Amino acid sequence: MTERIVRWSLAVLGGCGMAYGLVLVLTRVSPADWFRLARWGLAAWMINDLVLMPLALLLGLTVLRRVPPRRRMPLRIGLLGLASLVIMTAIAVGARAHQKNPTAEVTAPLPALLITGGVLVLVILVAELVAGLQRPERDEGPAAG
Amino acid sequence: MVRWPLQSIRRRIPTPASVTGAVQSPAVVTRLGLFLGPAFGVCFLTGLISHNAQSPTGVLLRPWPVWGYRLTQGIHVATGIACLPLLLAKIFAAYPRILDRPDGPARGPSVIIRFAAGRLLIGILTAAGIVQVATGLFNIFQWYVFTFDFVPVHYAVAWVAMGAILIHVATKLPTIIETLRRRRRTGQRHSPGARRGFIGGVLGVAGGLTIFSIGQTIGPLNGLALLSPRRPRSVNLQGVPINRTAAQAGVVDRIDSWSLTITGPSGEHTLHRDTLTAMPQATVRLPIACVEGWSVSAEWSGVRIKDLVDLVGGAGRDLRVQSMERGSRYARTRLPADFVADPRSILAIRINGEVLALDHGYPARIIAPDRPGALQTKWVERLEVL
Repeated sequence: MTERIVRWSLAVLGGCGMAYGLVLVLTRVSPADWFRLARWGLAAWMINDLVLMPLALLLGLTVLRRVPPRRRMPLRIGLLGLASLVIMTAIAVGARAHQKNPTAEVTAPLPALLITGGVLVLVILVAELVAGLQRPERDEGPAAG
Repeated sequence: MVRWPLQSIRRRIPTPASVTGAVQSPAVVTRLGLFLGPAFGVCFLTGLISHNAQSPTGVLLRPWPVWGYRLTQGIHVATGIACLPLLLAKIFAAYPRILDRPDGPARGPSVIIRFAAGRLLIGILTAAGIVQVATGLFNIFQWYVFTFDFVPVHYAVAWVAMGAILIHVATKLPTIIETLRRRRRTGQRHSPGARRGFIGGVLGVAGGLTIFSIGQTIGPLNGLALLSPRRPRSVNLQGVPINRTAAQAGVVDRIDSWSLTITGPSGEHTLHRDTLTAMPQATVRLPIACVEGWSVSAEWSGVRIKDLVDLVGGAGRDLRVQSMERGSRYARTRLPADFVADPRSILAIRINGEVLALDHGYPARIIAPDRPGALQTKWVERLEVL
């Protein structure tokens, strides 16, 4: 009973939130921006369903299956970290090229990527070293993803 | 007879179970959601505070604590950045769900409608989440590739995203509860093996991104801010970054003829720079906190706002502040009465012991506690008691 009340409450609150967001789009966002926003929303959906998810599937089917089970988790974390860093660096590089503020002292993105990427690799190696000392080999099951 | 080709096609399409790996489990997806949901929630709440602070009719605006906006906007940007790896990990863990099909042997209209509605919700949730994180990142790096007006769009989509998250939690609540109960029943303190490592690794990546970017808000971590949009404060003009130069604001040509006009109930006063300099000066140490997440404290010197307002008998009222800049959203701002009366609110003419640079708002700018940087108006030419 309590669970049902909580679910309904969340659903109603969520519905109100979404409806309010839609009202804000219609009343505070200019009509010209509606289409720009719709394009961005569509692009985001396409990136998720047509790029990220197939990429994850491909990663599991082609790369991870060739890697020893014990190395798959560090590889997943490394790729996730690298993807995050590459996204932020790509934005930083693009922003530098389009910077209209001549006084902006922006962080150099490529050295930042190298240093943070190096830290990521180092942390994964140390974690693997510690895990290797603490735990025996364990089979982790199917490789997909 | 039409069924045979369809059944053949269905058999060839992979099912979620056939592509599920060590981390594509309800346990991992649930636990990632336990971090991603609150991260989005905190980002949403601090975003509400920021939006309210920038609104001319914002409620409960107070000039204390002085570091209030600095804290909330710093958290907003930090949690937004942390959402990036959390979102990627959630997408990665949940990707087999894209191969879901309507349940049951008898897939009647109600089942298909429910399935379609569920997919639509997930589509909206994912799209809104990606749009928020992506446009937020582009904004803090000042790369306005999205071309739409960021403030109202980011605010509206935030409500859509949070609403979709709540509905998503409502639909998945039985799974969430069952997953967490199963952990307690089996006595496990952590998810087994690979799943624990994955979640720990994701949190580590999120934490790492935060550490390498939050230095733009927290002074002692400034040297670590490798992923922040701006370099450490020491290399900036007079120690404070600049978002908009005098040239960009189009005020350079008119600076030499600058004067300050103050209007109020008892009349109008026009002051020049030497008059301002001759008035009693106050020195305050206050942060400039930008919506992009960076913040820097500086020592500001100038005339107290309340002293200027007293010249025209405007005590206890809001103040309209007009900049020399034209056409900007923030060229005209409103300073609430509480801020006007606060002795730390000044019309600054010096920063860190030097005369205010042109790009920092010379001859005079507003500095007040707990106020977004965009509202610390530069190149002030008019103060009007409302």
